[in-house]
Amino acid sequence: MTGIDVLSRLEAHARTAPWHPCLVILQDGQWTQLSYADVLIEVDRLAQRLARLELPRGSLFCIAIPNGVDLYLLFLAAMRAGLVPSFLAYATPKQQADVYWTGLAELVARAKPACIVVEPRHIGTVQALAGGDCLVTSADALARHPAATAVAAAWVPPGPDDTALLQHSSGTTGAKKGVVLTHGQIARQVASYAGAIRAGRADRIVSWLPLYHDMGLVTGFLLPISVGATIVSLDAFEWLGKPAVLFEAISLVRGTLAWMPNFAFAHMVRVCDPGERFALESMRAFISCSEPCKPATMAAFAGHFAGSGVRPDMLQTCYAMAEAVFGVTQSRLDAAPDVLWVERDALQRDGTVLECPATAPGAHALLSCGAPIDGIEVGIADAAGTAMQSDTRVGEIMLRGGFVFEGYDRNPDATRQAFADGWYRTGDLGFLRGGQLYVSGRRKELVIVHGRNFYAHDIEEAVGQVAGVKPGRVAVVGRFDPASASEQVTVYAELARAGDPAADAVRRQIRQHVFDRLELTVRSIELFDPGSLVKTTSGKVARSQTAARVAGPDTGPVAVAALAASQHAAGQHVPGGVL
Amino acid sequence: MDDTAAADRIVETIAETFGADPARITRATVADDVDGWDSLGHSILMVRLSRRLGTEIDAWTASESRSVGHLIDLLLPLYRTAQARAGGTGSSGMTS
Repeated sequence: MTGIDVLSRLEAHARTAPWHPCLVILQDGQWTQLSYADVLIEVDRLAQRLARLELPRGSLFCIAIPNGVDLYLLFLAAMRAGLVPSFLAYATPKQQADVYWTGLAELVARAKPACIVVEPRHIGTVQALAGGDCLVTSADALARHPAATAVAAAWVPPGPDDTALLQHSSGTTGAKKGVVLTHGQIARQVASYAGAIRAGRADRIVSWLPLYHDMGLVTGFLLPISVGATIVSLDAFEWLGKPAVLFEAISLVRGTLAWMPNFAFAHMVRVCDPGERFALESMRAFISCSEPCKPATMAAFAGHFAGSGVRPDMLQTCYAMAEAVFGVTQSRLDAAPDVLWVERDALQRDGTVLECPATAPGAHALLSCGAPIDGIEVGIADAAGTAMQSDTRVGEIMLRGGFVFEGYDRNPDATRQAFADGWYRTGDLGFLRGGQLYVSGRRKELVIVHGRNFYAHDIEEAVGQVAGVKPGRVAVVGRFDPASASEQVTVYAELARAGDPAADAVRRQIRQHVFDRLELTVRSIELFDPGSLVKTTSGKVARSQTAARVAGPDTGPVAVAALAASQHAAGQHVPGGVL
Repeated sequence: MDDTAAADRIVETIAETFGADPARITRATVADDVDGWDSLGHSILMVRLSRRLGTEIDAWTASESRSVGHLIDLLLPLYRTAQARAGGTGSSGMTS
């Protein structure tokens, strides 16, 4: 029986092109390659072992291990065994272990997985926190487990409304929201997005993006498997250690597609010598996604790597989020995305879009994110939530369509806040012009660092927990840092005691604690004596006024403060994280 | 270049990468003490050190460093090995 789901697509490719490379993984300096037939065989073998565990059908199966072949196989095998897989970030050496485990315990208590796969050394710790109802095991242990028989033969493809997976959002580990996605939503997304970029079997998609991030999960896993393309997978950590490994891999396999956040484009420029040469002419597109796409970053990348075969029309943009499975808009792959020059003052003052020459004083460049892909409707709403037709006014970007999610897992409050009249409220601000979406900003309380979303209040809460900081007297703002081409977090906090001689130690503890809680490194920290920060009439610390008083008025990306302030205050946004 | 000079050069590179005062970078300094020393900053630092030491620096090894002193202790043997392989004396191997 043929279905629309990812496994049915895998089966179809294994039948029609059994030896076509499916998975090519660089792990610890060694390449491993599995064909479509190999992957299907291994998935079935693993699914037989999972079936023997007799976990309840439809129960949550969490995978929290580093990048490698097991990561991909376990996910698909869980689907094959009738479970709902979900990738989680794994514990890194830099994190304070007890804080990571506490967060994981909160997530387990809420999401109630039937099984968690972790590294062998963590089994005891995770089992203790997960309790007896949850099986905690490792990939190796599962591979040795006795097998049930004939899982593949008994397998019935899931229906379009059956839950396929759970994608977890940003936030402290315990506060992550689970985006529930069905097989139908994923299939419709993949069909539409693959059509927009003309993805097919000939593509070799090179990715270092972690799979617990929606961009990595879809572009580096579900989409290529669905269309029969080759996944060339690098570990994010190895990419950080040696960024050129991305281009070496593309050169080696003649890569065709890669997705990265804006900061990664800038990072490649910073770390690769202009004289270094790679063979990048095989690429059809490098697609910028997950954080605001900057024209200057694109131009620098194109210029720096022109000698390696990069052309400006290879650099493309996309607007995406897990709540829509992934892609919402996509620029055309046969031309460089449009750049619109607008008056920055008008945009910032009241959200008016006034086109102007690039050379005009105060001209600000906005890069088109392309047109909505088939199957999704993009609307722009005013502060009251009413749809606007104007292409000269910024409003909140709203979505509805066949692959927009229907709610968060076990979180009715967040689900209720996320929707209005059948539209999903993204919290991002922008406008449609000439059928193309331009994203101009977002509600102020969200900071995007290296493609990951953080709520300012989450960071402030973490800072306020540090001994020596006056509780509740913290403000966090995001500032765009041209060097890293990403936003960076600045913390303003009052010390508990005036003139505290241990201020340096407090600063260090703030960085460590915020990293432990959120996996975020704070760029700069300014500590003040009690009573220094600006308060609102309700007694809360006023973020922008505090930042403006102590550091000047430029406290963030282009955003429409007036509109943002009137938008709904509760948070929902793009889940996931890259680094 | 002897170990002391090499260690000084590592500290200089750290200071230069993060725009910090070299005098404030000591063996006891940790990444959390330095503005901008995040995962991407560390990546840039490792690329620079790799070039200046003339050796590959393994990503996992580098990530294990808990302080500047620990990082120096991890890198100096790599530098010496690279020098030995290159047949140098260790007196002028670093490049900028």
